[in-house]
Amino acid sequence: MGRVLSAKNVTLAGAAAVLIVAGLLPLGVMGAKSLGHYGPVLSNARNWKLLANSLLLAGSTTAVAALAGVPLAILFGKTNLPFRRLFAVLFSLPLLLPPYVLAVGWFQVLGSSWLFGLPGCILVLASCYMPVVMLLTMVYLRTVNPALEEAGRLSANGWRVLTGISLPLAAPGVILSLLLVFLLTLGEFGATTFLRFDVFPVASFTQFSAFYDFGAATAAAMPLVAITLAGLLVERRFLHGKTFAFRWAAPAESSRIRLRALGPLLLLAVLAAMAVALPLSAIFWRGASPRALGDAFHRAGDSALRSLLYAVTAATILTPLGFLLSYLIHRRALPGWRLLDALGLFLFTLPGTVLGIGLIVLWNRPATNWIYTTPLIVIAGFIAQYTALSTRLMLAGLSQVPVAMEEAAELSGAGWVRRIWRILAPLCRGSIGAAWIVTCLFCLRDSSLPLLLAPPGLDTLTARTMTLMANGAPDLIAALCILLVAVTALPLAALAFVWRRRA
Amino acid sequence: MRRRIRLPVLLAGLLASAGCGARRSTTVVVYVSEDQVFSEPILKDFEKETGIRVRAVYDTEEAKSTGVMNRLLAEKNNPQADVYWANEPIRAGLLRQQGISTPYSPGNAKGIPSQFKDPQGYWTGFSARARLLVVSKTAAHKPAGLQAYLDPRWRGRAVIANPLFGTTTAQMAALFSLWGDQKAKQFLAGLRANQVKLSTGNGESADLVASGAFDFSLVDSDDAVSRARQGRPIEIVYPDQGEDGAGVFLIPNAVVLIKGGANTENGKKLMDYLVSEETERKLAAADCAQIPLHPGVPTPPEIKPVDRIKTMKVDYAEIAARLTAIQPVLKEWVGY
Amino acid sequence: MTSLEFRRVSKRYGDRAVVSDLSFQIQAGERVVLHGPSGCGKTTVLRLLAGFLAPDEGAVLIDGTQVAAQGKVWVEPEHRRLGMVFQDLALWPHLTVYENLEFGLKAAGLPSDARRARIEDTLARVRLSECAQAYPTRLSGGQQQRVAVARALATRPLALLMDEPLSNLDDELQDELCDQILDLHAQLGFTLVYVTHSKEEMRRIAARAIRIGFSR
Repeated sequence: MGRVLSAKNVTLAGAAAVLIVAGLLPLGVMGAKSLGHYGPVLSNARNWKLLANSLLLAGSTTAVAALAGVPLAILFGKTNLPFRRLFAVLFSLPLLLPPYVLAVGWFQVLGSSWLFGLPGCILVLASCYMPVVMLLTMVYLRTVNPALEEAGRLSANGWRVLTGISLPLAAPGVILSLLLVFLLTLGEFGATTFLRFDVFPVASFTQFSAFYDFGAATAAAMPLVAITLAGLLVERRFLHGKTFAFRWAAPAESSRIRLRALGPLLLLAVLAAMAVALPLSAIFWRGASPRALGDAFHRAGDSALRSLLYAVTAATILTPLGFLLSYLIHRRALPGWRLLDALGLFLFTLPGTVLGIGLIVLWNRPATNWIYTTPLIVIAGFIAQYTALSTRLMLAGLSQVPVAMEEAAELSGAGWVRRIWRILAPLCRGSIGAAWIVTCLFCLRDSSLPLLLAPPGLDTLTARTMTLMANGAPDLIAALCILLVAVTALPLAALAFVWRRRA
Repeated sequence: MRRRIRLPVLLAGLLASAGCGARRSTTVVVYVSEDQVFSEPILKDFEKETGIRVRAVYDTEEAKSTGVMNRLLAEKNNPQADVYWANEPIRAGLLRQQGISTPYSPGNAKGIPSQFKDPQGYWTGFSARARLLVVSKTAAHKPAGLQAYLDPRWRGRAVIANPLFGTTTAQMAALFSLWGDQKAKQFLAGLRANQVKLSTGNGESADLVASGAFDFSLVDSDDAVSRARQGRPIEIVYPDQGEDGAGVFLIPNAVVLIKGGANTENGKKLMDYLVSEETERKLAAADCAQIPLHPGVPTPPEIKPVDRIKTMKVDYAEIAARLTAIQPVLKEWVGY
Repeated sequence: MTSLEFRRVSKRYGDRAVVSDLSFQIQAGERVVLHGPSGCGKTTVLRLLAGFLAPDEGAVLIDGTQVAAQGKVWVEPEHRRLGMVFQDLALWPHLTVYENLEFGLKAAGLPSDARRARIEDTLARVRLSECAQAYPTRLSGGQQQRVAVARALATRPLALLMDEPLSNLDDELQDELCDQILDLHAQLGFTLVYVTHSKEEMRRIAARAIRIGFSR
């Protein structure tokens, strides 16, 4: 099957090497430090209690996010609701803010203590992550072949077609989104600390902040990682053999459901709207004064620009990297493909602090100052943490393209590079765009890596917002939230512009 | 066409400018644990007055102000910071133990009482917070000192912040240093026995008392002052002021010079600036209402000047040493 | 009796007219082939009949009732009592053959016993009884084709619309399936509207042919 040193093998091995250097090496550094700390972590009764708390929170949050997100996805993706696209964008806004910021924002708006404890945590985190469920469900509903829905419409109404055909076919996307929400909630500790609900990541965090014990902190992060990997195994088993040939298509107008038929759904959506939109709009209301906005811009305008720069750079690296790795995994092109997939997912769920310390210890030496003392270190962190995201998204896209497409190009004499560039990449346009924008957004909203890694004076907007939150004026913090959302809108607009020009 | 060129050039420029930040003589790198809202204006003034560019890394409340400390420790082998502006002097001791700091005694700190300076110059204190009792106006009895925590009259009515974090850790270490291990451990056991509520931080403690849910709590002076300014029903009690009382525990800010930083000379200039009367005046007037240590600098109206408070006589270096030693005790006490 | 009727129907996509001022009548039980060059709007005619599209002008009638006119669908597809075999079959991959047939019967509110009887009867008619529990992706092309026909007929529609159903099969299978469709038509007596561009299929299926021309 070709030479060992073919362009294909070299390129793919290069992509694998990027992930290994960015992610595996710092992981190794931390792993070595953690040896000998596992006994105390595992034998500590309080840790098990915290773990149970974490699972309870993650499970409830996922359930609430699903109960709100799926109906909203149907409402915005499958009905003739006026302004449905605008609504979808509005409901995605909480995702753009770090949960801690959102939690503090809610508290400042509501100013009451009922927010504290488990219910408040569920409310804040579910409103923060509900858009993940909503957006992925919408995307996957769109990939369902319209003929399949029309075939159902001949004998059943839109609602029945939706529940019997469209939703089951979109199930892989819904399940993926639920898994993501579960994992993101599981690793969250900023918002939960603020809302006074003890969760497992606190165990790792305490090792960092009270004892400066990096090894113990890493060991304490491992049970979370184990749960994550278990979750992924379940996902894989559940979805095994259930991936169908999807295709991107304009949604069939005939399968749009008339709103009249959707009384209960509408009610649910209104409830979700109140839970999500009211507090958020209150934050915006508070921060939207020219004075607060001016102050926010004055204090954090440069950080906003850097946020954008880091995120766009990272996403632009992550997208081709994810494409190559997904190719490697999908075609099983190199030995060890399974390990690469697992490594990426492992890194995705590792707490940012653990990864960050590993990166510092690895790269902070005179010889590599050019990485550590520049924003490159932040970008390395983003690559390590988010490669799984772009890889998984690209994998979904790649598996929709029949292998025969590439084989046909091969038979016509095209080399591997040309096949990738001229055939596969254009066919995967949709998921390339999706991978770029999703990784870009995740980098934009990340706070733990920039807080730990950004060189002095070169922080990001999330980091700046969080450092200014310590005793900062509520109006300023609200205005910073607005700035954060505004900055996020820029890459979205850029992508929309590119897509529109192509179409 | 022009638009197409602009963005990449801008991006490249920004990346490059980050790379050449190391022009030695004109910058200083400072890691800051004092809240950015209060510290940044001071650093901006320093930039304006000296022309030295300050590149700062700030801390978050989310990480209980320990983020930059983690960073300093992780960067030990190739230090990036020149100066560490800590919001308490205890961690300065930890940095010294780890060989991360180096001595320097700023000339501007001459007027600051020696109690608030490391004799060898590993850290220099300025603008302090005091550990005060915030007491609910609705409380049936007013506490006078820390022993109230053990008094059955306040059984289940008192709050203290989690001693694993922040200034409460320092306070515990101070008590261990002042009383010795046995009495301090008895105090901890007494807190449990008297059903003292554990909060996640001093801010929460102050709120719990201000809402009337609890009678009193030991908090930082800025937490007490901010509640008073909001008009909440609380009063401030200076604990243990009696003849044989131990006095109020003061926690000054501290500046530390980092060993092996790239801009040590500028770092020293910044340290001199930070411990000056001028900086203390600004921090007293700001919302953080910190207590100046230079005699004669005006104090925030809600707070007594330092020379009218009986302060706890403690050796911060010893507290630092105690801090590490008592961690297992605190950890066990909290239940981690 | 007139089963299906177009009255001066026009349909545009953007500014491209696909169907222009088309009128025809199809009698109940009749076998009709719609033919014409590729892209002439044959599929659009079926989609207008099925109710997936509304005519911009003119009216569509089923059994003498106006079901769509002047840009509005008045009777939803599920109330038109039509069956359709799609060009790419559109079998639901997440359901077994049995469940594919059952979907429409459930929607019609048939009790479980009646559903079972109907499905078994329909599958027997297309000689697929042994495949009931298989997923459609596991079946051969010809078998999938027959599942699609069975699914469309399970609800016992008044009319069966077929959109180039045999275009992907080899000659022998095409022959066999043509016979089968004619058999089913004879047994069940539905109106058959069959779209094809194949002369051979037209010759075999059509009792009558309607030519759909370019309309520009």
